Parts: sequence; structure tokens; C-alpha cells
Amino acid sequence: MNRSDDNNTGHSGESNNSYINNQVSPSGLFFRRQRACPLSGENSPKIDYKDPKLLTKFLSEGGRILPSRITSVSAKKQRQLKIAIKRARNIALLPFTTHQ
Amino acid sequence: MAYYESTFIARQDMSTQDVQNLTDNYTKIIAENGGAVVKTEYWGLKTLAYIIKKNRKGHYVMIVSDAPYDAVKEMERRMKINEDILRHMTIKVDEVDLSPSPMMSNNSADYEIEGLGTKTVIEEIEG
Repeated sequence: MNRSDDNNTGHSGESNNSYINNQVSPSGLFFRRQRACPLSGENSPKIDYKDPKLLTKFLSEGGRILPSRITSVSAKKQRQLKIAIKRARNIALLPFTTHQ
Repeated sequence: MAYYESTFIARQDMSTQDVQNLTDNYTKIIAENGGAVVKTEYWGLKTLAYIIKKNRKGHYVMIVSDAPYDAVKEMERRMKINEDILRHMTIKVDEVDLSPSPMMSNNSADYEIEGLGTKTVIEEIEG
């Protein structure tokens, strides 16, 4: 009854509360805004299209760009990340898709 | 003058010496047209993320230059004509980092660097 997740089939890590409270909470965390953006702040890595190791952390298994509500990236960094990923895809450092 | 970062992929059939000659050609073009090459990097023969023109691997070269637009435009035109170059991309950057790029510092098993090693030529920025 409560567990019917027909709206949220894509997210496997959500808690059961999310359906009742209408909030998307990745990995069971209740309040996502407490988690800081991994690309902002001191000692954060610089977003560069030449760094596929950093960029693959923000891609799904199929090679698609993950939304910032999952990765907790700030909006500004998400825009830079998007440009960097698309450049890396152009130069064949990252795939467009890994789906057969 | 502005800083441009130009990356191109050469065919896997070419030897590293051929790729080196190709790189020298382009650095000469930039110098002739009034620019200065800041740094050249050879990332090696890497596996491409997808097949480009029936090639699975390619030689990656990056040239960072401080040049007027005409020099870069001429270089791009030649890259487009050259059949040995599979893909090229030039972007304009605000500032140049003289240290080796993240591609050079990685030693993970994901990379197949079969080239003759890493070649980073760092020259003085003029002006």
C-alpha cells in the first residue's frame, strides 16, 4: 500500500518515507540540503574536461549525466560540469552511452 | 592575445614520430602567424570511448597557445583538411595552468598509454 512506488521507479535508494512526504531523498538521507556540494568549497577539484576520472563520478551507469538533486552539486557547478562532460564526450574521453 | 587549448586525435596507424611531426607542423603554423605555444602534451595512444571512423584507438595531442585568432583559425583549417586527424577541438580559456594536465598525471590501469612516454614542452609565455 504505502510501498507502491509507481512514480519513483528510477530511484532505488529512496526511503519509504519519501512517498508519503513527497520528498526526494537519495540514499535514505532525509534532508538533502545539509549535504554540501562536492565541487565547491576549499580543496575541491577543478572541473576540467580533461579529467574523465572526476567526471565519471557524475555520470550514471549508462553514461548519462546525473541530476543535481542526486549528486548535491550546486547549480553553478552543475552547469560547468555539463559543459565539461559534453566537451569530453566530443573528444571521446567519455562515451555518449554505454547501453548496447 | 588569447589563450587557446586545442586537442586533436590522430589515427592509430600513425607512428609516434609521425604524430610528433604533425604536432611540430601545427606549432610552426601558430608561431608563423604571431602566436606562441605555451605547452604541448602527448597523452599517448588511448582507447577511444566510441569508434570514430572505424578506429578504436587514437593518438591524443594537446596544444596550448597564446595566439591571435587568425593563427588558431589557420591551424584549425589545416586540421580539418588533414585526413590523419580524426577529431579536433579548440576552446578558448581564460587562464593557463602550466602544470601537466590531469591526463598526464594519471597512472591508473584504465589508461593504455602505449606511446613513447609523456612529452611536455613548456615554453615561456610571451608578453
